[in-house]
Amino acid sequence: MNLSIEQIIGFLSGISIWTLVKILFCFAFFIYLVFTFVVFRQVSLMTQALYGQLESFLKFVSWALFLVAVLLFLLAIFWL
Amino acid sequence: MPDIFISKKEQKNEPEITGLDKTINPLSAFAPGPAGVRFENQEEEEKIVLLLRMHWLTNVPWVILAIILLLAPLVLRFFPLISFLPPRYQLASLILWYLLLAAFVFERFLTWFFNVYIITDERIVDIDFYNLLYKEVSDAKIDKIQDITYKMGGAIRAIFNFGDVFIQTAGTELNFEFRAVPRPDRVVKILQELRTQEEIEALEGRIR
Repeated sequence: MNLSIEQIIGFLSGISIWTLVKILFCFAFFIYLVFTFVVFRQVSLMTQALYGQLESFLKFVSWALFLVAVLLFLLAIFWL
Repeated sequence: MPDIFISKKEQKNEPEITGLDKTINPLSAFAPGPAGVRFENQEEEEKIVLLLRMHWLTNVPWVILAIILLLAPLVLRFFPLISFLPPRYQLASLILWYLLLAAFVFERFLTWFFNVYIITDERIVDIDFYNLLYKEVSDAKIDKIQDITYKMGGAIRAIFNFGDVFIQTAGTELNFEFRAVPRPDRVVKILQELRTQEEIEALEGRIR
């Protein structure tokens, strides 16, 4: 489908500023989601390097952070 | 009659570390004989004599920062920076702020908690997590230690009794730096005792 420049500009100008803001917020929550996943994986690796102390607690916290991030990302998409 | 054979159990000479009670506090920065702790590549018969972390006082700057960031939205209420946003987006901004704060606090805690210096009856191990994605593990045998120095300067370090321990090992081996560890004088003494133990074992031909 070939779009002319006028059509593209027309499409972009039709986007509300609040749609752009929503996209930005969703993107921010997505980045945070990725970060919490990295933290979750890293806690697993860290507890492999040194295990026996607070292992369960730290894994629980990292898992909880990740779950919260997933929920909030979904909330941002459907609620904002 | 002289012994012809001595079993390994009898030969095993546990290093005697005087004046240290075993700790059960998982957040301790100076943990002699920590219960239930093992590290990667630890040998089966190898025992952790001392587990060290940076003194808890080194966490104060980021804790204070975290408290400031925690209270910032209450203060910024008087300076409406995001009042132009609809209420839902303002709430989303606040949630995002506290999520980032939680991540910051957790990451700093993990960095402090897992950056450890371990002294076993056979070697010293330095586990460093520079950030969440970069890990460095160094170790050296106790009998390769040539020189041990500790430094404790400044009023804060003198009051709270923590400092740096520098360990020089033989030849091209890595040198170790135990930064801001509690009771550095005790750490040096323990290393010297272990080094003596290793020398005795070497002389008696009991090398593991």
